[in-house]
Amino acid sequence: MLWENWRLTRLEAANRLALGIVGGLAVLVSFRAVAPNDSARDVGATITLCLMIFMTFPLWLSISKLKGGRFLDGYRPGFTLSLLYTRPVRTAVLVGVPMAYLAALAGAVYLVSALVLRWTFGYPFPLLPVAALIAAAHLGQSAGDWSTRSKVVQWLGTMAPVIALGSLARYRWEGWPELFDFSLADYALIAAMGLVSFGVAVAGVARQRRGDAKVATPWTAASAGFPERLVALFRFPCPTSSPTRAQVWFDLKSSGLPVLALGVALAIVIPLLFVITTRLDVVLSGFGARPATRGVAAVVAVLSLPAVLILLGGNAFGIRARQGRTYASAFEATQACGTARMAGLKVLVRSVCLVAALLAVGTSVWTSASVIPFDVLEDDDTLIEKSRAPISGWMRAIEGGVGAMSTNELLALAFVTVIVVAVFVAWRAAHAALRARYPRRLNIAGSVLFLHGFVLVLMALADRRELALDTLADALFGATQWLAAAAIVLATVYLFWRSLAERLLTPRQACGAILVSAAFGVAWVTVLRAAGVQLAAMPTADAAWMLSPMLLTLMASVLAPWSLGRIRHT
Amino acid sequence: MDITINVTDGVPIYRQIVNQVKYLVASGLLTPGEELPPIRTLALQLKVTPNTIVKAYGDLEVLGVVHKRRGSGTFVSDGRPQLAIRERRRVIEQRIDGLLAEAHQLNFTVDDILRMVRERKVAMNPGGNAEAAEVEK
Amino acid sequence: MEQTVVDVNGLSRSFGSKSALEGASFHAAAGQIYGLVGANGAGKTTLLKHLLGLLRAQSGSVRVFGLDPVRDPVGVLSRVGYLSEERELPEWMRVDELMRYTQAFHKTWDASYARELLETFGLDPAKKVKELSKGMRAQAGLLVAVAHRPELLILDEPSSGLDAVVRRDILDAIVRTVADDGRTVIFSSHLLDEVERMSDHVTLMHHGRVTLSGPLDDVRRGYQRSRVRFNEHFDQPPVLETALAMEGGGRTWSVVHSGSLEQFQHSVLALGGAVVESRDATLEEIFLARAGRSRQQVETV
Repeated sequence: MLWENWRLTRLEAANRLALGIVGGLAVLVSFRAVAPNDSARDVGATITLCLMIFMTFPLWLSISKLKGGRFLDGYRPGFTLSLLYTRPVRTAVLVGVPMAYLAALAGAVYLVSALVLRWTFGYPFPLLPVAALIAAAHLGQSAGDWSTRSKVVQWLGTMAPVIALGSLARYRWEGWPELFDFSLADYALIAAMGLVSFGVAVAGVARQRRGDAKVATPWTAASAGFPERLVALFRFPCPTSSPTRAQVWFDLKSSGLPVLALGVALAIVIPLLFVITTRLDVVLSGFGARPATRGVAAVVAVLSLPAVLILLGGNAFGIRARQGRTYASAFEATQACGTARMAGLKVLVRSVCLVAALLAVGTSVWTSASVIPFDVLEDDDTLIEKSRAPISGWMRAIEGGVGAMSTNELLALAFVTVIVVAVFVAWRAAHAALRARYPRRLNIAGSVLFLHGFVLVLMALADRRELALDTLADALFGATQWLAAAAIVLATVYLFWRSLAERLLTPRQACGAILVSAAFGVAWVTVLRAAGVQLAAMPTADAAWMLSPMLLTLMASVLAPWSLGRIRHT
Repeated sequence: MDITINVTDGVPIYRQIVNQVKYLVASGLLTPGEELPPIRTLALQLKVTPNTIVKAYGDLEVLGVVHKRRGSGTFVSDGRPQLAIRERRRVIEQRIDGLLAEAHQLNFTVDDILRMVRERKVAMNPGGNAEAAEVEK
Repeated sequence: MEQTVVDVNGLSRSFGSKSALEGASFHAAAGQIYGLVGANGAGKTTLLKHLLGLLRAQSGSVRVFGLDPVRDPVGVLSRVGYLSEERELPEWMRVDELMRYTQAFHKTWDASYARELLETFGLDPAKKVKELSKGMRAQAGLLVAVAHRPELLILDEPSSGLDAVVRRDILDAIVRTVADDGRTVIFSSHLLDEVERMSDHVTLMHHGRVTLSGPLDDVRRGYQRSRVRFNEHFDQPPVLETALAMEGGGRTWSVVHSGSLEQFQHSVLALGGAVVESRDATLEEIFLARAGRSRQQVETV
């Protein structure tokens, strides 16, 4: 059984170990290069510590992945290795071995990375306390995830150990160089937590093994994607008059409207959150504490727009993952619909709904920020009160800028926004498709790019310290710019040529793509001019870079159908 | 039409159909002039490919057991089949060869076989004549 | 009216280092039923996926209705009905939505036929696909595959894991498709008795190669099953040239053999025996005998 667990987790453990060490090194190097004094370096060391802990963190997810479901909500609850139930092994052993193994592995990954960094940099990264914390956290989280089939209990059960252990750690934080001052009692507490988690897990898994637990819903191919209840919210009949309309209906139901619904829901939640936390703060300040629950609302509001964009804008083609393999739906691939049309409709429907969601959330954030009073407390010193002035300053600046625009410029701005979102959705969809089809090549390309970026960052840091690498840094930067430009242009030309040759795109569709990109270019220039950027007055290289979004749009318009074609016809 | 098909004894399906139709005609369960089920219906009933039924009906037509009327279906022929005597002899001789080989295996003599043939014929036509009574040994 | 519906020539396909198809050729004419038979992993599903454009031909050519399914997916798929092995349907769709969605893509959708099938299958149009049992899912998939009267119906393991009722529905649909206006059906199956009843042509695949292909009766006539009685007692199966599989013991043996009956009779006579009876072999016997023989060959090598 140990061997099975090893097979399941070795790749992930190796990944995290490598990332932890490399990331830690990077952070420490950059801080040493940049920071003037010891205290700043300490901050860097703290960040490294957090990075290492974070890296080992949910190692148990790699076993939970087997059950399917989505990464975002921690996969499906319940004991993963249910195939072992028929073995003549006691439940305690069945559960205990993976749990102990995971805890030990996580601790070991941390210890190795801490030792390596300790040896190279001399910082006394704490070994035993943090390892114990990580092991206990893993035990607790495994218990929370495996002992139950209820999603709610899974969420609560996995967050509770983290919160508990996190508060313990915060309570005992001493600062460098002693860091954690755990007494024996603390260790006993941690050990007790571990034992309790083990007990809970064994009890839960024994119930599942006997069959008394709630029945798990069978995993089916399409249970990835948006939750089925969300999709079933909107019922309107499928038009039968034309294939395009039917495909639009399909995309709206499966990907567009759920996005819109989630955006609207978030838009409703944000003002509520503001109101509730404000009231809460008023109440709590009456007790003499220094409440900062409004911080939660503020964080949510600030993160909401990027979160919507990132979380809801991906995978417009509906690529699914099943037991590690990714594939596209054969149902859609065998519909009598052209690939370019399918890709275009999917991207379009998702982008329109995403823009609507962003609008809803943006409006809600704006109104919350301007309508709900910030200064309800007498105490003017909290972070929230202090941030009021700058935020209202920004809001007024934005209002002034937009108000000064003419109708043409506003229209151009709207058009640019829609196209930018569409291009974003198209790029992410193409990325998902290519990653499903060519995982190894994409990983190699990604690693090469990452390494290149890393080298550039180091160069920039070295440059700041005037280490006489100016010429090399400049040459590298310049080369990168030209290489990137050339690569994009060549890729676009190649993709257009291949798509036309394979009849993936008709000449009419290709001309349409070029027209849209040109229109985008015009609108983009209008917006730039409204923002005060004078293209004519800039050197040609910089002007060319300013116009690069146009090329990205063109490339996206051909990359999306091409990547869908690659995955539809494997 | 009461026909059953099985695929385990190796006889091609169309031949099974042909044989059974011939038996039905010979035993009077299908009367001359009666219409056979259309190809589609019989194929659905027997769960076989329609082309097999086409082949079977074609063979039956060649043998003269049935005839096709333009557009309106397949009907049982009146009277005797119109095959050449040599063809008919060949069909029967094949059967006899098989029968004799089997009989040899099971230790029956030719006389036993002849007697049993008569017995079976009587059993097929219950309204038979006095010969039936003699043939019991 | 013998137009070629499917034309596959020298198709090869490998997934990574594993070769799934090697030089496979397959031709289908209109109005016939084609049965694809083979062990698991023989390449049947891979071949069918090439016909739909789900896989690109790495070498060789694939033409359906004279068109390349990869270059012209709309031209091919609008005339094809497909039921996949996994019965992949969107889980969130209701049965009536599924029908309307498919209807939009095919101008030849026959609404009355669809309604009739819905009633015959007893499907509840308001039910979502995820609430359907495996058999009902197959029925729903079959409904939308045949209701638009496709010129070519492709079924990948249509009867796998299904009860007799649903299997009967599938066989009915196959018969109807061919009997009405001479359309073509290609199906792959493990149930050899089903293939034997329902195929006009049979294609046997093994390790990615097409080992036998032709009209069912011709294929079967090439193999016979004979009962042989020897004068002397044999402990091991006696060696006969064209024999593929032998069963029995002592003096009486049952042999599946290829080639002509006279040749076989000669070789039996040479060993001091006689052929008692002989008949055409069934598809199952041919399949098992060939499979057994290939395993023997592998062992001896």
